[in-house]
Amino acid sequence: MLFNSYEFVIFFVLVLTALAIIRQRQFQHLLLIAVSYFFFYFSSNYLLSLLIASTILDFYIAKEIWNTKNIKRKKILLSISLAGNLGLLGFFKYADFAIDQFNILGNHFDLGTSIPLLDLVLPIGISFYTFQTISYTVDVYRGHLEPSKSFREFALFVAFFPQLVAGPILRAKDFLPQLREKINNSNGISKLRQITIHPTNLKIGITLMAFGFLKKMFFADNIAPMVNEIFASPIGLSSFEIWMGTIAFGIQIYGDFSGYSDIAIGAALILGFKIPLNFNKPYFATSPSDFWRKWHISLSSWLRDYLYIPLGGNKKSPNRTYLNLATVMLLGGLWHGASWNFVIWGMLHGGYLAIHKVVSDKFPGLKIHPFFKSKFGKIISILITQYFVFLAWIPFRVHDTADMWYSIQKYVLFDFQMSESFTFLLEHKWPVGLMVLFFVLHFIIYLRPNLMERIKNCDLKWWTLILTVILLGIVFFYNGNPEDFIYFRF
Amino acid sequence: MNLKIVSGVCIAFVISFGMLYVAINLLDNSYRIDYKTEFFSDQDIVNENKILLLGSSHIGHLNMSHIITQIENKNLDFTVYNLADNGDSPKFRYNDLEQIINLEPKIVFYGISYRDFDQPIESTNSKTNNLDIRNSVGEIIPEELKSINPQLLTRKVIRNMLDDTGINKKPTYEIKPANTPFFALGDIQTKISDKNELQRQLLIVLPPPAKIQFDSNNEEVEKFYEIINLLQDKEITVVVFTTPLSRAYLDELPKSTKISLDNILKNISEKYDVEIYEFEEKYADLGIWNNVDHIAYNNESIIFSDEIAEMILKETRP
Repeated sequence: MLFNSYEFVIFFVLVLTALAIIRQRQFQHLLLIAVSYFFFYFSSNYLLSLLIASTILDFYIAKEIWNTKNIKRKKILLSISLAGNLGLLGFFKYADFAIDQFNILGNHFDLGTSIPLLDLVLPIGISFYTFQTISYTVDVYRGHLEPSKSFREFALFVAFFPQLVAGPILRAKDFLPQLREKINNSNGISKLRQITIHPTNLKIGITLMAFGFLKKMFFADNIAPMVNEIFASPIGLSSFEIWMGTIAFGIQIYGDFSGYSDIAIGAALILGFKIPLNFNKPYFATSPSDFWRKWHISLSSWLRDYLYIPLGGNKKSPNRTYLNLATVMLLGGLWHGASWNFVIWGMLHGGYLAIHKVVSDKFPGLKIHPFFKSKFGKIISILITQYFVFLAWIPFRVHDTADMWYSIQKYVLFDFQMSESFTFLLEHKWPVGLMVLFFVLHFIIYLRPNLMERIKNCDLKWWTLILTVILLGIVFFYNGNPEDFIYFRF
Repeated sequence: MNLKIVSGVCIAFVISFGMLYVAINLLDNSYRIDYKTEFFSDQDIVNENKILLLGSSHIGHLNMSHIITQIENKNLDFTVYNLADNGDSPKFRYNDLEQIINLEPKIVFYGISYRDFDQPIESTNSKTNNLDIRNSVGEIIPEELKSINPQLLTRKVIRNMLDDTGINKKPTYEIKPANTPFFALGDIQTKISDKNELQRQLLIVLPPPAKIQFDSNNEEVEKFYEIINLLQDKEITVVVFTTPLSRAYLDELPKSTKISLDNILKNISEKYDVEIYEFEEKYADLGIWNNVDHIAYNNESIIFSDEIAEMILKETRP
């Protein structure tokens, strides 16, 4: 079920109504599980069974890990959980890719290998919920988290519909306590909190959802046709056109994914749950590491906690640190999809992080140099960082190898063929206008970081007006052809 | 407090969707020029012997001056009119049918292609597949609501506003082919695109060839049969021809879609005894394409107009 569909609007209103009617906490949880499974079934049919299997596996294994004192047994149990989750992910996401590579390699060495592809359907959200269950089991294994006593609560953590299909990736330690939050009633007696729709949450939640829809339906979906047009066959295009396509794709993917995250966070907030921030103005990042603190935060922090640190992080030799960074980002790239272009994207970011670390280590004074502290220095840092970030979007978007190399070449080695650029701008004035508007709005939000707080506190009349303006933007610029969220594919 | 917030949301919804409703129903009509009435009520046209060409922009790209000259050279006593209309399909054409019949043409040449019958297969199947919960939910929402594209209207309004201020450089459609009352072309339609350009354009074609799906029960097909039937009832000869498509377009078409069109052609040939001419693949590999499904409007592409003229001459032979 797409967030940007009438079905979701009907679904969400019905869920809120049902929650308001059902006052009993446990039944509210059961209702949320049921509607989350329905939400998943709506998109992926019988593949819902995988989600349930993953939930059962990790609930009982985590319990066993917690109860056993034997370290070896703990390790075996953790390995079973990892094998189960990664096996599921690997089989559905990477089996065909592996077979394909095996066949290519076999043919290269004249072995005549032609294993038929399995043509598996990728279960929606599998990359997200398997990472959630892995983090739960690992946290229990590390002793950082007490396993959930209630299967109902754990099932809700895994399947919670606002973030089920494309994140943000939840951590059990953040979510489960919210289900067992105690509140004092008017008699001073504390009891477990039932799900209530709080006015502040409702107001912020609706605002966040509205902004999310605006990012997705107004910006991303309306810029997408230009991106598709440019990268359908980029060979022969000028550097100017490749640059425009790359920047447009950067905006499209940001609008698409951060829009989805905003809708998810807003929907969860209306239901009374806090989901961590997933984006924090990433296109104002001043370094590669800063970018990864602002882009897809739930994934980058997951990779840091469950991959980078276990590999040794930066606690070992400098060379090992660089290798760890590169490895983590390469796997992070592969997490996005079974394709070499994602590997290249990951490797590029791994390279950026490693090089940034090398430069930071060799020249520690750079960080505190007055130039980089000044406004101008900051702008330069942002521009350099974004130049490389956007360069990496090319392999992310362009899957054909020849097209990708051509586009990268044109991006890096600017050809100054500007004769057709004015015609290009005229022919694409609508998406180009949206790109300009995006940067202006993005800059305003950057300058006023507490915008959401202001909207939350503003008078209801003004809030309604803001909401109306956003809705008008969405409704009047809806292109009648809702696109899937890009991250649904991952 | 929640009630107040919900009221705010409702107000925002009512205002925005209300404005959209008003815009679609009032503004859109105000931009529609009733350019057809003038033609259909022209008594000179009504009284002359005539042949009509019907179809979408695919037919609009015909060089009518060339066709008219070819016909005149044979001293035939009739005039050819090209009633091509942008985005035409049998459902739209059906609205003009009465006026077309009133013109009493001798022959109607109807150019069709896959896009004329584009109707997502899901929407035709959803009524019969009630077991699928997704279809059941989908049925709650009115089809009209699902298919609206307000952005086109908004952009049109903005364009018109900017035209008034002179800021917007209005695209000019100054090429008005002879005897083609409902269609005009711009300079851009005279250009020939190379193979790379055609590949790139595949993604901006509406509907994209890869997504065209229809079966013989869809509404467009039914209207098409009805048009043929009604014209024949009035003793107007109907000739159907498939419009040419580029190789890039044809390669993207699903096999099932090709079979569906073949079945329609077979059906009209057998059931209605309609003569059929197939141009679909005739020029697929020639360098005459403006875009993937439109031949460029220029002298290099005259072959299409030439063969259409030949078709007309053949069908009008006593």
